[in-house]
Amino acid sequence: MDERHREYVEYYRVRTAKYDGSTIYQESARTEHALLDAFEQSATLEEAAEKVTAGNLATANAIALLNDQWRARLEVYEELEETVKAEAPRQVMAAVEGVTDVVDATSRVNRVLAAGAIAETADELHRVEFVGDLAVMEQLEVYRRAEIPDRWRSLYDAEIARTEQDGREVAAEVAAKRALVPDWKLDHDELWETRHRRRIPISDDALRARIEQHRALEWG
Amino acid sequence: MPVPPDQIATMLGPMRDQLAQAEADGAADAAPTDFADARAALDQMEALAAESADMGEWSQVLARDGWWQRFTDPYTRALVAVGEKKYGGAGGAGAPPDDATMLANMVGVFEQSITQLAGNPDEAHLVPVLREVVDLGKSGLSFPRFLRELELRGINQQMLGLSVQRHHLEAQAQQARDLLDPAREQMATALVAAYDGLAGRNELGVVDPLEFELARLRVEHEWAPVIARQDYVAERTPLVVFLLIDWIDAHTSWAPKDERFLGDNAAQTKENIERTQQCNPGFVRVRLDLLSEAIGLDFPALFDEPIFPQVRKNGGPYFSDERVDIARALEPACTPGASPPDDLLARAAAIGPNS
Repeated sequence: MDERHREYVEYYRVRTAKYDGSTIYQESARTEHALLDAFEQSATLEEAAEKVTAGNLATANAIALLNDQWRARLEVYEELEETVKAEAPRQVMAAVEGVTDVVDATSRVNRVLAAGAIAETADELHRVEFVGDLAVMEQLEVYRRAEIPDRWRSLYDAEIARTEQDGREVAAEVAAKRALVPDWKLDHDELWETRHRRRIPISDDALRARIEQHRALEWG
Repeated sequence: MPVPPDQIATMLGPMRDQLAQAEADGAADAAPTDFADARAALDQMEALAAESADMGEWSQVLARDGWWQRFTDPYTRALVAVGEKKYGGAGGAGAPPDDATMLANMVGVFEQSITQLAGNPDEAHLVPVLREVVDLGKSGLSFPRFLRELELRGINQQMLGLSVQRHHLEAQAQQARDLLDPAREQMATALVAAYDGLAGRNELGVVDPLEFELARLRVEHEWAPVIARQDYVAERTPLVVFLLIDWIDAHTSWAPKDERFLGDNAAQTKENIERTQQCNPGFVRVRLDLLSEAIGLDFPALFDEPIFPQVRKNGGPYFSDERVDIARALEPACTPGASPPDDLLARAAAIGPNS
């Protein structure tokens, strides 16, 4: 083993030590060790390089790091019951399984993440669109339920009708511009899923009432 | 209206520049098909701009149909082909064709980064680490020793950690504090604490960006419901106070001169005043019922909410000390068919019109 070879061995030893004992980078620790083994157990640097190439160890190392990172994200998303966001990490890990080329792996990951971002947007829209309408729905309730003299009732009934119609027109306009998820439809049942429910601050009874109102308004 | 040319240039210009540089580096010869595919993707993206109604629609179509990737994939393959042609095939990890060249290239990249960071707000935080890399690279070490030193001194970790800046987190907390936004302030403070916790566990005081990202997911998840509730309260509180103050003000002698009630003529102004006098109590009762049904708060409780100082600060003339006092005292009396108590009416009258 010449001096340059020894220096590479020392470098890979330091790299390997960085991952030892990590709870996140377990797969990386294994592939880093494989790289170190290739250098330590070769007589020459050329032999080590051949082992790295033959075993595709550098690519395996890059993919191990990807897997470690996305596995860690998956675990947190699962812990937080973020079921939609958990899909991308799962698909990333499936997409790079068996891949032997870093450029190919990167391309696959990017494709999964782009699709995942669209899926997350579509999911977020259920809550964002509904919560965005909450204040107007409450204003309609104020007009509808308020005890006011008969003299003013027709005025506020007309205001209710106008607001409802405006809401339908705005919803149609917004839907027409929703090019990212053109076929998206609001699914009120999704609002009860933990990932959405905990971000809607109103009580279950109030939420049920507003959902019923929203369905009747046909703004979604 | 199609996407304006300057916006197309802003969006696609950097990629056109990248492609031109790749062509100058020989990409069209090294990978003719990939290079042509990348160029075709850019052309098609530009064509889609002409078919889109506006920038928003165009951006969504590009994202939906994966156009960024349709450019990036062949472009990356073309770049790799250039590199392979230049170096006669990848040498494999740890066995680059020429250590001295690799070292010089790496140091050159960092020197270029230092130049590019001039004037950047984070220059003072980023440059010292990059400078250390450059100095180390020029110290006469061999390439593997240089790489080893980067690891041993934690410089690689420090460079990774630069993506998370503690002072940015502190600035977020300060901004929320300045805006009297307690939920977001506490969330930002929790992020600072998470950062410090991770830094404290690392012997070099460096934060792993992934670990911080995971901590951020947990912290933001924890605070999301608190922020949602706070925003809900912040939005609803003024609505009740407005109704109450407008109601009592509609009973003052100066109401006909107040812009809130002014109509096109005297009859309309009178009608506006009477409508406010007669309808607002009913509206107030339903608003408070809705608040109670939604989040279990009654009117007095709104003033104890942590977000109330912000509501007050943003509420303009409706939230002067005197008017808040009047609103609080007035609420029980604001019922359909009732009139405001004389003492409160006298205090409201003394304030005068809004304009």
